[in-house]
Amino acid sequence: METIGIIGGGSFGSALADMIGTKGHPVLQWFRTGEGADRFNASLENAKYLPGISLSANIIATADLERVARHCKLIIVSVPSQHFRQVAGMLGDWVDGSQLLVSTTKGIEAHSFKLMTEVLREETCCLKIGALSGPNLAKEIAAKKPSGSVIASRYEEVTQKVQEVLSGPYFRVYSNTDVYGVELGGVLKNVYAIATGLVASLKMGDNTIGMIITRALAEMSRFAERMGSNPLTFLGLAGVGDLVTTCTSPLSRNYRVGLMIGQGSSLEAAVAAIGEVAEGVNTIRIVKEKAAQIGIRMHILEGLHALLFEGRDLPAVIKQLMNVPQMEDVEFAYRPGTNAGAGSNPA
Amino acid sequence: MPDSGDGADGTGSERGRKAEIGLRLTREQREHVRREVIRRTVEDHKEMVRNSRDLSLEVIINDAVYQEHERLRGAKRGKEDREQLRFWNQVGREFPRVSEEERERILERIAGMYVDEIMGYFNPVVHKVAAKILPWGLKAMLSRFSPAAWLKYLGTRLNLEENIIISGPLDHIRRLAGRATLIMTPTHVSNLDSVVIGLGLYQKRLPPFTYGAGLNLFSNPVISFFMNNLGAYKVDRRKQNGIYKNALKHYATLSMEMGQHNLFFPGGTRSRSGEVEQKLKLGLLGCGVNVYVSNLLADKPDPDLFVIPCTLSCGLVLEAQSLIEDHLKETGKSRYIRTRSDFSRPMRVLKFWRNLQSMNSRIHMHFGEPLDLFGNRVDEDGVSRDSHGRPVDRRKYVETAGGPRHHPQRDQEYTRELGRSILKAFRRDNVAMSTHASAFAAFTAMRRRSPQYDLYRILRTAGPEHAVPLADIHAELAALLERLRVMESRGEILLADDVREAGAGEVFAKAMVHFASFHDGEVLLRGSGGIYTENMKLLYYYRNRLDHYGLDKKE
Repeated sequence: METIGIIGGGSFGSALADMIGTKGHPVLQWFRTGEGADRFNASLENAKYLPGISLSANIIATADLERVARHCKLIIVSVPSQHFRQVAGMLGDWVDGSQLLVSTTKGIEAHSFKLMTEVLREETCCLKIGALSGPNLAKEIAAKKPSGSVIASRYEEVTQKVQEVLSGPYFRVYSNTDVYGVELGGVLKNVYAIATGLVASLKMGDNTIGMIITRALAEMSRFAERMGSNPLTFLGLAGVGDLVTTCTSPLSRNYRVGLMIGQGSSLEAAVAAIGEVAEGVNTIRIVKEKAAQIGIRMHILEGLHALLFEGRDLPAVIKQLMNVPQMEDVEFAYRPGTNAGAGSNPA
Repeated sequence: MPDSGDGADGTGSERGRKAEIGLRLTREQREHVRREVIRRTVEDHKEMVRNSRDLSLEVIINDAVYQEHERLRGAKRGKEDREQLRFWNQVGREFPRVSEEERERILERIAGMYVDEIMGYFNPVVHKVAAKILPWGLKAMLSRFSPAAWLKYLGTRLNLEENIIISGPLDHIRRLAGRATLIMTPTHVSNLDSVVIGLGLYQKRLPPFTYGAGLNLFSNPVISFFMNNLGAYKVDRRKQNGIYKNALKHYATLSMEMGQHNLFFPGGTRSRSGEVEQKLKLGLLGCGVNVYVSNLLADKPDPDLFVIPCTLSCGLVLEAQSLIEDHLKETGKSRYIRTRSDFSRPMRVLKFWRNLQSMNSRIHMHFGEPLDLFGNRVDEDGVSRDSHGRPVDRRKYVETAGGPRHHPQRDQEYTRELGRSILKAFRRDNVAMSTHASAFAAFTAMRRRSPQYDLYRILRTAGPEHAVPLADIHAELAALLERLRVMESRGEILLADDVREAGAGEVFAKAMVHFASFHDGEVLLRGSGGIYTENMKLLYYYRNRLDHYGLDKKE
């Protein structure tokens, strides 16, 4: 069986490596340091991110990127977004254009508003690029709990290969060609997990959670459509699937940030207490600026920005949100010329 | 805008194997091309039938018969149309009653008819008409068959260095032409583009290119003559059926396989709005990867194809009025084709040409950095480079299981990547001229005076009652020039010399003179209340050349 490359020694990279290795594929997993790779090879355990879980013996850790590029046609890149460009640039020194590159990182580059597949495109000569996204909490995947994901790529070679390599008894992989939409879903949902964490802390009730998640979906798809994506992508696993999981799971870092702030912590204290990167906090700032540039209203996101960065208090933000003009429920179903009626975008 | 050489040192001799093919095929080569186009077109459709549960040759032929009848029903019927109608009536009667094998023969006949039309032959009747209506000098020139002869003639009549300003890595392109097949992809402004490009290529000793010229170009007898003699083949965009599209695709493919340098206007049609192309039609461009893989499979010694984006920027545009009318009428429906326009009026063409000659107008032709078929830039040694300058082995892109393979879905995506790189080059290499900048500034200032109006209402305003003080326009233009100069320093656009160096007053005064020389005092006029226009649509057209750069937003 062909060797699959994984770039990154974090929790999701290790969970994927284990899943692929368990299917019988040799896996070359790149760690940033030789010590980290040696530790893994000696123990077959990712003690930092997936402690106590014994991973597949088919995984070989290495700190040699050239080795991964030379031996693997499919390379899955799973490193935090803040290091993504640097690692992609290093990988770019060794790939030759024949490899299939897949990003699993859900992040956005602050200064450029670029998503991770765009960074891969810029930093390497590879064109056959895709993004894997969905409700995929690493700890649940490592625990072999059933889950599903979306592989998005314009290249059939990529979607077919990823489906072949990742699909298994506890993991399903669906395909999509809307790469930008799938990636954006993975980025934006973090924002709304903070909101539902807040709502949960205030014990507002399940109706409120349901409304927040649904209106979050409306905001996400409105924004994504303006950015050139298909709003229907957000009805899939990378949209509503990931959103529901992230907005309701205590395993979600962003949800926990919201929960702690709702319980009285400051933003800084909440972020420090979580210890890991809560992407949603940065995403609020980046997306708010972009939404203003392109003329899109995102009321929940704006409310979170007011709360976290403008000094507004929570009751005032909630009051403002409950007074937002009420428009159509499902915006893209009410386009002029459709049978559903002639509505307007409430942007 | 460095011009890296004019090839006067005889670099024409650098043209190697590829250029030797030339544009004039021998009788045997033409027969080969004809046979192959028919064979491939028929094979393609048989393959489609094999891979589909619903498709049959009957359905495919029926679709062509229906579409051609529809097209011919709406056409003003000339002799050619009547002949075509007879052909399609006959096919329409025959195909439902015959066997599948006989339908294959019918398909061959249809493909044969199309390839004959696409290949085009020199037409003595057209030549005779052209010779009658042209001034003596041109008539004398037309009496000779050689394209080189008339190119030389026009070259001496026009001071090309002054009127058509050519820039870009010309030596680099000449070198690549000797080792690879080139695909030139120009922006499309006017029907005169192909003539201008032909002159530019000749002047700079670049190799000749064959290209698909829209059928409407052949409505002007002079240009039609040039088309036929330049190796142009005919593209009829009104024909939308699959058999025609396939025959056209295979013709272009064969031409490239034989090593002929090809020129495609990737925008598909002239920019109606005046803006630089924002979207490309990738159909013919997509043949490139197919040819590359075929060349690799055939183990050809020079399998490569490189793409040369070429950005044309015109201070004045012959068909500006009809183009912007089309745009406004058909916004979003680019399939609308005008068969007659300013372009089909010979005197209008001559006026434009005289204008060009008298220096009232200039055309900038900028060749961009050569690209490979995957959107990477290619250096002077023919090595592809990624965005960090690292060498790229382009064969790897088309290899599957250790060797080159055709993969239509993958290759279509590669062509999209290439399209993105071409669009970036167009945007970067667009030359902002005084007419564009002045129209942009004047339109902005005029629009600001009526903020309550939407675009279409603004476009209906005209006359001295809507005049804007000259000082306001100068201020607007001064700010615009400053931003354009910053953009040029960042490599985001190119500027004509005066736009780069002169003050707002001088740039605006020049633009007014240029507009007045061709558009009969319509675009920008001076009245007691300031500057006004009698033709806001034309002002909008020229302004649009600087659209999509974010210049309409306040800094």
